Amino acid sequence: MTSASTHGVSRDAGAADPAPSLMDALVRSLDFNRAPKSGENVHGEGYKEWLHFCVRAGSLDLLVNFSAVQEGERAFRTIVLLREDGGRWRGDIARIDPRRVAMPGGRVGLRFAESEVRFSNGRYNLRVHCEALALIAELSLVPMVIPAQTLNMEVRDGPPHNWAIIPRLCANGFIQVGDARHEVRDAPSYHDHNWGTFQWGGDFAWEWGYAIPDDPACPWCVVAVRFADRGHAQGLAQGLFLWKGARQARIFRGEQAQVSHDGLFRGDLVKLPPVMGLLRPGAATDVPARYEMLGRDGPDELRLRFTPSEVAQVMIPNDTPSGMTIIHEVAGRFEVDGVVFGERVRFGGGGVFEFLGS
Amino acid sequence: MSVFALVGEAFLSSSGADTQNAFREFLEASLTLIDADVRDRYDAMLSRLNARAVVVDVDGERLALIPTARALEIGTASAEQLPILRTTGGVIVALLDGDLELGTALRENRLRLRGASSDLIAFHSALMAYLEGCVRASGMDRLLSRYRGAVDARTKT
Repeated sequence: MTSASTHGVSRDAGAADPAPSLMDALVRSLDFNRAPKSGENVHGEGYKEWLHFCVRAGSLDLLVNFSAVQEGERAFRTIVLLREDGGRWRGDIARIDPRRVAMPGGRVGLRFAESEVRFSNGRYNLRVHCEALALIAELSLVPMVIPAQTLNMEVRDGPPHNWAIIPRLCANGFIQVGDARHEVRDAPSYHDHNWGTFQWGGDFAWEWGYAIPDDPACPWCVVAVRFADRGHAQGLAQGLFLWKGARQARIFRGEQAQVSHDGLFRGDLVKLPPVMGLLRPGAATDVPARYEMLGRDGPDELRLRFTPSEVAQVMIPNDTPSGMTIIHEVAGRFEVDGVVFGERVRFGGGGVFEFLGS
Repeated sequence: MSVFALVGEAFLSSSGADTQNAFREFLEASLTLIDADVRDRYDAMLSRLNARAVVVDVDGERLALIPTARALEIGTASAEQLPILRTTGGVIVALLDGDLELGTALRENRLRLRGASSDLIAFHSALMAYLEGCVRASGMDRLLSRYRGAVDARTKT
């Protein structure tokens, strides 16, 4: 893994938060659209780019993903997943008419039909309209940490993958589902932006998750990521990232991080789009019943445990001749515990992890 | 450029209440979209059928699916040709919506498969390629919505 701005360890995590104007500039420098809006195939077949948002608003979990994929022509899709009162995921995948898409290259933000992401004055304004779920959300998300990016993550049989991340934002606004309007106040949220040229069905898989504490006063948050071969057997790159306040506080990478899967998740699986359930019926999945990443380096140790509770399978026909790739969006509870630079780190909460499988 | 504007819109604007040929119209329109948008899945469907012509019966619409070198042609099957698949539009919609699993439909005789095992395997394999194409092709959601409406209308009459 080659990292541009996440190298090393920051010992000044307690320093003053950056000014809003600096945060605004940092976001604009990292979270811009890499693909031009035009349908020109400038990045080549298989180029993929998506913006991903997760909002945990009390009893609601909302996941929104805007993706642009080069599959012959450019195809634009909005994925919306919603979970209410700890229940099952409900979701929709909508293919968006390219004539109703604006995703200007070099700019932060996009418009996919009635949904859009705008960025101004240091905050994201996210509007989501999902007819299938009778959902309208209007949220303002303020980054609470300095964004980071990880470039050139190795994918075994293709060009590298790239990732810009803001692991902790604060969301305000509302989410309306049918006639029920949910006010969102200071909801912990997550955002990332991915791009790269690769084939679904290639010899790779990923696991990632974020851990934002339920307690808004807790300064810590964590992201775990692992790239592996398609069977999840051989790690290619992995990292456990810890932030304190706005700044990155500690990174465990490579051999400093160890991943373990325990058991297999057993429970109902929500399949999207539903028709893909015909190709992969049943409840078998390789999502672990318990997931753990342990970072250890010298006296520092940090352990992230995640226990899945609900799984949605976003099922994608492979770009390769046959088969499918399944992106598991997994809601659950996490616990983080450890000692970093002599300071105890301990918090828990609800989060969404993602396991890519086949 | 999607051909949905040419084919899908024509399908959507065709006589709205023609429920007698609803499955044929849906199948033809969906194959056209897959041909245009996801040609590799269309080719996979043809190769997996491996020149086998099969008959399907949906709500009494008996269609012969005839693979040629470049296309899956759809004709009207004769009464003597036994269908490899027989079901109803309601079951098709339930399967597509994820409300019913294929195994359950078979066990409950809501969907019947009949034929030589090699034909059934080829048909199932081609069906998987068709479904993958459906997921990738643009405009399919509107075709499905239209077909769902036709099935509902047939159910009520």
